[in-house]
Amino acid sequence: MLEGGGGLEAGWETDRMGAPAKTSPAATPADDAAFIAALKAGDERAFERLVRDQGIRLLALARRMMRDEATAQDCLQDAFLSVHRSIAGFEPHGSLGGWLHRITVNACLMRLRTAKRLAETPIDDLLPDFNGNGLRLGEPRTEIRDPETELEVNRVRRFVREKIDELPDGYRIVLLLRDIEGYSTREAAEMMGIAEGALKVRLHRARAALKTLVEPLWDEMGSS
Amino acid sequence: MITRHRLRWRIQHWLEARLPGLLTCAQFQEMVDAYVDDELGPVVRATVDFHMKTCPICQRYVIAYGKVRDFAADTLSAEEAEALDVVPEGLVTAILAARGVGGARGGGPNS
Ligand SMILES: [Zn+2]
Repeated sequence: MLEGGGGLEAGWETDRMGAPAKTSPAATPADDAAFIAALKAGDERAFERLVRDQGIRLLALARRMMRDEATAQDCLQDAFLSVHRSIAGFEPHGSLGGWLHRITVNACLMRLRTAKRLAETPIDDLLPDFNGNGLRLGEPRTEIRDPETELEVNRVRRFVREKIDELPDGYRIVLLLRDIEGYSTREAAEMMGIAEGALKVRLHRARAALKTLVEPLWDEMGSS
Repeated sequence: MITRHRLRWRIQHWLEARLPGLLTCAQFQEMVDAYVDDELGPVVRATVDFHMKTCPICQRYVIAYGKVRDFAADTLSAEEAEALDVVPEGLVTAILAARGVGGARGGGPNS
């Protein structure tokens, strides 16, 4: 089955063989014209190479989005099935890596939508409060400072990670798309299937809620 | 007793009567994202900066808000850097198998 590529001797086959793939798309031959041509021609070794090289960072993406390993792996399978079906029509005006990233996000969103996990649930108790005159209520919290030691860096990361996962999916995913995966408001709104204004509101709520959730750590760590 | 909020409101009310166009904290809150994402034009930005000068609670809020956004990005990029460096072999096999089956019949990923 893996011999389907026949005598194709493109550069992508030889120059990177044996080199361990890293998560950076730059470490793969993903944008090499010969490699893309091989993929489009249905070369099976090229496809397997794509799965092995790009699959690492795409699986990490699916894990971030889905929060559990089994579903993340299902999403990666969905994504590569989409890739297989649509690679012939791939127009390289963007990067192949970016295209794959988008396909994987969409595969994850599809599963989240099907599982009704993208709804906007109320999180009012995590949002700031104002009085009738528009004045902010509540006492100021301990000042959030940068972690100073490696121990603190790890502690902050662990805590923040935990709290991101406590956000309802409808907010968490918007936060991921905008602040982590680097999509614009317009792109993220399109992917989520909501208006740009609605996306901005959700992002604001997600960030504000995360702030509320992580602040107690600085009460413990102190504000130096 | 005169609460701290009541006092702040009085000061803000007094300022607003003299400098129309001042923001309330609630209006300030609506601009927090554009502020930390550096998307405000100079005029609005000056209004926001002025509110922060007169309202230390909002000032502290927006600094924390920006930091938390940055911590989230840092946390997840650190996680990605530590991610596994190979795709599990079983998953590669399943993906390759699904391609053969799925392309023709739309079947499941497991062969
Ligand atoms: Zn204020």
